[in-house]
Amino acid sequence: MHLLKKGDFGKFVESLISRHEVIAPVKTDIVRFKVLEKGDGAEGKVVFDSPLYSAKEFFLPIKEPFYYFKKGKICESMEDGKNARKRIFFMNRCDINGVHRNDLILLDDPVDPYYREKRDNAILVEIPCVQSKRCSCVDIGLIDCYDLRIIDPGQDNPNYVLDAATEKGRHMIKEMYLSASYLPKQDIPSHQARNIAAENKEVWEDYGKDCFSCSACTAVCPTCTCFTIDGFMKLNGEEGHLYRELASCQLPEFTKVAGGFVFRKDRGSRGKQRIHCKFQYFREKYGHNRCVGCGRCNEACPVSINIFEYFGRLK
Amino acid sequence: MRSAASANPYVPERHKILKVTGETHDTATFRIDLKKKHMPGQFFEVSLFGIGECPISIASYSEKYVDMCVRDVGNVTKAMHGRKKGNYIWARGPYGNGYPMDEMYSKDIILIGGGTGTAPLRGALQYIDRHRNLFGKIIIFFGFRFPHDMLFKRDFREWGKKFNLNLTVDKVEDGDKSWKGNVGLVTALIDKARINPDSAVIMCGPPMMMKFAMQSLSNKGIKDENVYISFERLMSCGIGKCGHCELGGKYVCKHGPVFRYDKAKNMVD
Repeated sequence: MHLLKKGDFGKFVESLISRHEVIAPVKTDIVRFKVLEKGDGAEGKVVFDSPLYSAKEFFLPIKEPFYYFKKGKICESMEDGKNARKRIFFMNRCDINGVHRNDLILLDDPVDPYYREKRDNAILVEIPCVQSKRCSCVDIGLIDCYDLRIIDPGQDNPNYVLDAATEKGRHMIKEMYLSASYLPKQDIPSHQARNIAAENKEVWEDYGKDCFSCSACTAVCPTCTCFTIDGFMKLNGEEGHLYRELASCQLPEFTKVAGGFVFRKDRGSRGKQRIHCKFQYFREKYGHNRCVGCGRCNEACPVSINIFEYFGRLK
Repeated sequence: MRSAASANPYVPERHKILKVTGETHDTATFRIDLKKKHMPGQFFEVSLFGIGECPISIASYSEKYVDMCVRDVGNVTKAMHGRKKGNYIWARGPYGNGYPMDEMYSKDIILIGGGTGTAPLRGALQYIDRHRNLFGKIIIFFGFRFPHDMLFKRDFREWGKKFNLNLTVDKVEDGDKSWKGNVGLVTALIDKARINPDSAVIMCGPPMMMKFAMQSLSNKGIKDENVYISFERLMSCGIGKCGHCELGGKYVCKHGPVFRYDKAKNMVD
């Protein structure tokens, strides 16, 4: 455990920037994750907030080349060495849990080497949570999975507490975390682990009527990692690469097979897949809710579909 | 330096096309110089540079090669049809669980296939033929749309000698006198046949065919837990990561594509 004077936070950030790549929520026109530059440590620039778009793209770029090929031979990736630098991420507890959930699937056997490279170089720093209006993580089952944690013991305390992820520290922090005033006062439906019944026809019908399949929810979700592999060839017909592109289960193309048949044609069934994936399927496979309660999907949805409300309605 | 070593599950290996056998106007079987151990019912991800990847099931059972029966329906399959003997393709795999042949030892086996769904069943048949004394009576029910859509015609004579082979076509074009066999659905053949209710069933075909065939089988006393069906899904990665083929919490590519019917019937979108 170390104490860090709140007034020295800027200096602390600057010292990190000089040695590593630091990614943190920064207030620009909106709050967004940004690779910090020299001077970004200045007071008020780095904010303890949760941007609408998560830091997912630093681990899973929207489009990411796999291997390259030239004249009928596979070449080593041309991205080599690019990600060798350590990257320090300042993220909320929910977002760090999001990374953990993505680890469960992408580092599961067989390991995804492209993800692993970026993940190995990442240091996750948990920042004090400000509980924005959209959040709902209280009983979703978040766990400690940070490398380092910055704790704000209270507004009148002049220090932050820095906690490296040791068992002892974890235990102490857990107590502080629960006794502090971070718990939201909003009345939110419970989404504790429970089994969803197969029959919830009316709920999915309602979902299908509300949703217009824009896929904003899956784009902003920190734990939506589904992707499509595709090929690219240069006009010379000799070189190109294979790449993956993030995909969305909320679009009909997601389940379209050769010949044109779409397995999940109606929006209700796609909503069912999304909510089952977040609260049922992933837990069956990996023991955690895939949803980390950040509430980004609810904020991004143009027709105000609330994933927690829908989950609360399910039998 | 990251190398494109075999540790990277996304990197395919290069294989030669040994032979191309035309099946129908849009389907051909490619014999690939690919010696990886596999089970019937598994599949390979075929990767063609600049075009993409697609899952192709294994239509053979051999240590020396892999037969891939490919219908020209998408980008990759179209490009594959442009390749000839001696050309190369890239592939990674095999993926999926395959048919649990050891669970069917000493049983009578019924194989039900429709259209290109007959391809993995050809692999199962070759496995059975290689281990003939491990299995009981074999009954085959294959259905195709038209007589000219029939696949693996060259195998019919041999299968007819060794097994109980039943073929049918959905329709015959007006004036086509070449087809003298059954016309109608596969289910009609199953209904007429004498079937041991303790048989194991391997089924692959269009969802509608499997649904109705299942009813016929139940009527014959076949138990759900003795039926193995293959699911068709869009698959992209083949290793349980990309999410496209997730169905009822299972990845069809990794936990399937073969599922026992008593479990599969609860897996719905």
